[in-house]
Amino acid sequence: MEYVLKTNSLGKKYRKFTALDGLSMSVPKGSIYGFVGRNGAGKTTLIRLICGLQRPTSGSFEMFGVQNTDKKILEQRRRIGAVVETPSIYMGMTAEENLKMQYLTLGLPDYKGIPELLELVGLSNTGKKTARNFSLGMKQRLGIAVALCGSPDMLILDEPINGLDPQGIIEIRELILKLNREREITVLISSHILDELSKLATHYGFIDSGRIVREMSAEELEKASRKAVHIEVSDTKALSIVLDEMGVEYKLIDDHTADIYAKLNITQLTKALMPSGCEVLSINERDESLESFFISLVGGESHD
Amino acid sequence: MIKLLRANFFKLFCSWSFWLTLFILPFINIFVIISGDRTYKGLEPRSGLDRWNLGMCGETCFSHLMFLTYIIVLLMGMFIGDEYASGALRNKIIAGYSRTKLYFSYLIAGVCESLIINLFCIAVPFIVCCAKYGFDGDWGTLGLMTVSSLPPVATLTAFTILCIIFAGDRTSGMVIAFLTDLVMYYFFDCFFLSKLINEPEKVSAAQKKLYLIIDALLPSSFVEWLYVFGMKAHDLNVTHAPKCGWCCITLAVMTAAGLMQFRKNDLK
Repeated sequence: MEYVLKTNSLGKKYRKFTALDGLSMSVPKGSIYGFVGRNGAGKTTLIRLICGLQRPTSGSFEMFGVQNTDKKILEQRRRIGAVVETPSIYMGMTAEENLKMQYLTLGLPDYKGIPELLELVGLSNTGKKTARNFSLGMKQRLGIAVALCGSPDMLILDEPINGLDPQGIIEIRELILKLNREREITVLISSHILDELSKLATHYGFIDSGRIVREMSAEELEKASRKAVHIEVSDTKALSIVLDEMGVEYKLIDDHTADIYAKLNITQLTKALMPSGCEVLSINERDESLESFFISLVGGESHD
Repeated sequence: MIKLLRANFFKLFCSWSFWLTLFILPFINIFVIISGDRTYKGLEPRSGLDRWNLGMCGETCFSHLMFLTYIIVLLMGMFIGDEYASGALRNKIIAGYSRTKLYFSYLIAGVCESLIINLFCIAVPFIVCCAKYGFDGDWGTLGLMTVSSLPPVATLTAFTILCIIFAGDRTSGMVIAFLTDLVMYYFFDCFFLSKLINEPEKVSAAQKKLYLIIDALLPSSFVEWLYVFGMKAHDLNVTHAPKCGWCCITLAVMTAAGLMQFRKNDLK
């Protein structure tokens, strides 16, 4: 597999605080790499190191096959676009002027690509409205448009859906998927809104306390996630006796509901419950969410 | 570097603060001319000094220098500080430029902005004065004063940029620059200049030289000096040239300190 980004025991310390502690990860080419972790886990620090905003205190990384200590890394950095924390845009300028600024910075020969970029992010009809007067979603999309100037091979998005309304979240999600599918841009996206990330990512990296806890593809995650049958009955005591006899794993949620982690023969279960007078009120199957998987990996206690 | 400068100048020319300052600030000097003319109007002109001329030149074409220290802080906050506040600095680093190139592109664009405003503030009132009242002063001295105003203006700009870089934040950087300018100037005024003026007999020749050097090293006090003593045209050739040189040393130190800090700093 070809990787666009590989980190090797990357470390970053701020005085006595260790933000990254020997982090190693690999982002495959063409993937949408979901970078999952709690606040303060080190997601943004890693992105800052990759973007060259800060220097690692230990370890190294490789971008498009070039080591970070190599002077050629500056050229390779031109192949990425990034939105780190907040969109990097000039509030006093219009969307078009912001893109012109980035075109000038990159030294691109003309402004021909600007209308297409504005169209892509849905900002083509903003006219002379300055970015200051944009909604949060529009600013975010403009930030992505700026990051897309110069047709990067990799897009780094740090918490791109933070603070957006449901409509804004859908727009950003669709834009990311479009960029990945149509332009084959590798996307590294960090988020702690896991449900949203699960709708996008093809690969995951779970980070906790500055370390990668686990890296896996979406297929591997699906296999690893346990299927659960959520059942509602009139009496969970009777249910637990039957389930114990059947030898299946389960978790009682309250007096009437339980999650069963096994493939069940519903008819058999209903028949088994009948002698004790326990009624099955509802049954539905659900996947263990990315959230539950993450909690099972890093534990439930808060670091904040 | 050229690409960065093009981008910075594009931003500069899109900035309302630049154009507003450029067109409003000369009015300070123009108003001083008009009020000066009213003062001299009733007098019988016996020499050129009784009308608007070189004698008033320091009060007219250079009046803006009194405020330029603070205006530079505001302008750099709006220009360079905005790069930090908007996060646009990140885009330039991700675009693959070295920090040295980035720093010098900001310094050059910032200094150019300050110098353009300074020169515009000198040129516009001068043209107005010439058209309205005529000019019978010494062109050489006027030219020398203009040239002499450039190093302290550039140094103040470099100092403000250093403060913004040091703080890593627009507002804090502006506050640091503003307060340091004030404190430095009044410290010198309190401990050196007042002694030099009020008790000159107690100041030895060596001390006097030292005071002048310290005075010249502080760009804000130099700007003040240029304005207050502008009328002493005859002294200019003697005292201005070495002071300008000293100010350039401060400029070099500020530039080096800014570069070191910019290269070292972790950015957000």
